[in-house]
Amino acid sequence: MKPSVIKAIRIFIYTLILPAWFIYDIKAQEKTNEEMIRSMAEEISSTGENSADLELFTENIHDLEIDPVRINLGSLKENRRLFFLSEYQIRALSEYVKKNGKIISVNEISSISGFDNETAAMIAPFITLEESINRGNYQSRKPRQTLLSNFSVKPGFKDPDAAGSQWKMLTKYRFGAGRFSAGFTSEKDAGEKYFSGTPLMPDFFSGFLSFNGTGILREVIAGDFSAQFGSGAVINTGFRSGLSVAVPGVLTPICDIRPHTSTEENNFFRGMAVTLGKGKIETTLFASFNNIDATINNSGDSLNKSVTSLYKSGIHNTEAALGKKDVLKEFTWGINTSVYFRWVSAGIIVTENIFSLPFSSGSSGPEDFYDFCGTRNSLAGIWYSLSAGRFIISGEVASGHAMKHAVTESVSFVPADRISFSFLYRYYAPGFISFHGKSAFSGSAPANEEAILGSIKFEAARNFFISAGTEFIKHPWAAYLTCFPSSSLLSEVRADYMPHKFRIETVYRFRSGSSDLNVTRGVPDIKDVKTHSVTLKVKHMVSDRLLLTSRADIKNCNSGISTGMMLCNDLIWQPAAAPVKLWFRYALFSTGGWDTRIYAYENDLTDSFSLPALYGKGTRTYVMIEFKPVKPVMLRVKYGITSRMEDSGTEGFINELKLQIRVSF
Amino acid sequence: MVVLFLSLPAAGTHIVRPSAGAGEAGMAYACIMKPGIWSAFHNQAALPLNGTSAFSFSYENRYGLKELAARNLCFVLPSGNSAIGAAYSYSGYSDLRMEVISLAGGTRLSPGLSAGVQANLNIVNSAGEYMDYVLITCEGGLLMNLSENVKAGVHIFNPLPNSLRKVPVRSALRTGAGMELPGNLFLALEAEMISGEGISLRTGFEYSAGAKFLLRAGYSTREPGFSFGIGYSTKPAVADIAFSTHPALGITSCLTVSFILGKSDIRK
Repeated sequence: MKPSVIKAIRIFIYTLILPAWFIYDIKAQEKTNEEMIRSMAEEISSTGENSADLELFTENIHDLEIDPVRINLGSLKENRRLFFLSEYQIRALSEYVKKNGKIISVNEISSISGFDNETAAMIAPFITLEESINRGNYQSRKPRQTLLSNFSVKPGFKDPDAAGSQWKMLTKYRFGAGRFSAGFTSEKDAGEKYFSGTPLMPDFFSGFLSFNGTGILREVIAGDFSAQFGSGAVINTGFRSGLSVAVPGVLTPICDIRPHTSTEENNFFRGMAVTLGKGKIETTLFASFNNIDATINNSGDSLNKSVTSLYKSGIHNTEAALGKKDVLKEFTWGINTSVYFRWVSAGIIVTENIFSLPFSSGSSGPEDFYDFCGTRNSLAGIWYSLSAGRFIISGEVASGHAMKHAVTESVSFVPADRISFSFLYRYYAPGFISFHGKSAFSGSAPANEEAILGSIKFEAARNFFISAGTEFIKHPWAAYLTCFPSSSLLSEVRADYMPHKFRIETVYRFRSGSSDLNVTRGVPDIKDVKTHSVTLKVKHMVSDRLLLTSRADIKNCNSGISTGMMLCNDLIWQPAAAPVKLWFRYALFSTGGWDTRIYAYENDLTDSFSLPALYGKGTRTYVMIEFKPVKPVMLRVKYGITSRMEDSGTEGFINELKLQIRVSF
Repeated sequence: MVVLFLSLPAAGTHIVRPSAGAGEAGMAYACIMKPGIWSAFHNQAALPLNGTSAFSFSYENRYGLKELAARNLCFVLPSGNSAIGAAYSYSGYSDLRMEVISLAGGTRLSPGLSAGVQANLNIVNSAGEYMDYVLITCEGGLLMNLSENVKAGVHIFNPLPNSLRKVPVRSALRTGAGMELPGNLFLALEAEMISGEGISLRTGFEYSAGAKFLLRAGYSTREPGFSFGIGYSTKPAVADIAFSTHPALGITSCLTVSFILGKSDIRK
């Protein structure tokens, strides 16, 4: 062939596939944390109904990146910050350090009982082998600051009723020096005014100042903070474990206060929290005075105002929604005292919420019968955790308003290193009210449910893991859209094959439940809903700079009446020649309706997430580019488009554009 | 006839992606990971794996109706780690016909990884009051070695949003893997989703019976049916024939004749 022809061919090819050509220069580099974060986030987003938990998860993960766990301290409390490990793994890690001394490499972790190569690699980005008292970057003596700003908009979308612009804006600032850290978060959702109220403030503004000590004064937070004590039945405004019945995660009690840095606008405390400790005893006291959103019944005179319901979405994009903003004052105080021995820990928690307006009794249906009434809600709970050989047993008993009780009990059993069992029982009486509580597998504000869960995980062969779990839930009283006592069942089986360079993940889920069948008059009939879903995911690490993922989902609701399907491909590429990183997704979906919607986690701006619910028939595409022109500066741009075929045969589109700048210095 | 025409593989609101190649048809088109001359129609990333220049002609008589017949022509021109391909497809009859002119390029990005893209000019002519139109579509794919004997492929057709064009075109996503087994057997499994439809699966095998004969069979869930095919190679020509069954519409037959302009080989 003539050289000129060859040259012409090459010019054609280089021009036509220029973007792909850069992949040619693929060189090894250390694996980033991104895939780890993505993998775990996908786990959480499998049901898609935990977006608040996903936000907290994302935040916790980024906190761990910034402030990794010092595993060589051998401290259970420190190791429990690895919230995605099981209690057995956490204890095994601590015991190993106490018996054998410092861990000198991450590879050594895989030899610890309960760990394998995969788990060791998974936790690697979130741990440090240093023992330094000064934890991580934020608490090093050298001051460190991070400023992050996000801007996002749906181009072309207009809402004539919106109070403000369609731009969503978020700013986070964090400062750390020695044992002190401080920061603030401000946010404005799409359609909201950036400044509102008197005095003028951003729609959401949150800040904190914290101190971390090692003496009697162990932790102080002034400003906004979150807290968890025990199993969380009484208080847990942070992340809750137990989002997958097959892989329950940590079920044991945790006592922790931490600065509130997320954009959750209502479920946090504003005031001061102090943790004091000496030896094996630790006490946390806190007081909070916060204005929260609520729907107020104004039908009576001003003296008879009452709260109809709490407004938790945090969206204030209309005048009506603005009327609900910060209208209810909530004062909360609490005290938790814990004792920690080597194999046993226990604690007692007492708290009270006092509201400025009384909650009115529900009147719309039987499901409101046990709703909270009045202005005060007191709660007390006792929790414990016992480790005996390969058994770990823990639980909490709480009692609250009108002497309604909550009980959680969990047992974890690891008969051999390659197999583990978990069992969980929980009971929340109808009428048990906890405004800031949530424990493993419960929803927010858990009540009216009794459930038992069992799960097993084992390594069936080298690199091949099988886990399965099932949960049976009974609701002894009527619930929302279910005017009768009901029950539901959730089962999950997953198989993961993870050889070097690629992994295959399959998950089968079954969910059954019942609700009201809509009727125009009279007592509703019972509608049984059964949903089966299968997800198959194949990830191929082509090189350390290129990851390809193919995913297929099939979801069937009530024996074929409605079926949803999705086929999706992702590409993550980090070229060697430039300080950029690229994410690309192309997905096709076809579902029979909302019941068979499919949630597909997306990479998004740092410290953020995206979890679109795909339903109808259409496509979802996004491209995201990260650019680091100089070390302290990171820019990200994401453009996504979702097209959906309308019933009329036309195609509708939703575009979204997101921009982010992060500066660390 | 229009209804039948719209039922062509990957048919969308408007048809733009023809199927071609008897070798591929014999495996129920489970072929995005299988290099060959007709990669220009299925996964352009496989083009550079063709070791030599070749051209091929294919005739498909869909359901035995000449009005639905498709004639396809393509050639592949490899050069170093890259290759280009060009294809022409004509289907339909005088009152409703579609022509597609395609230009494709593929390159090996690294050992075990290749990528390719293709641009198509689609011309649809209809009789009477129906609209004639000309469309440009694009498609692309990746092909990678998962191991020495396993290849995986991904192919996207028309990833651009329809907001950019007046005439909507359906999109398609294919992903699959193929394995070479001892005994000259190649197995393939592929999933495809076309916008507005569910996921369909295809599976097929190709068995080399001696140096010259190839036996193929496959099954597709989209238009549920089996496919069968044979191939015969005698330098420089290769002939393939395939038959596909449809539960209601009958049998589709496909004949392909290819000419290999050099020593025939498929690269790893």
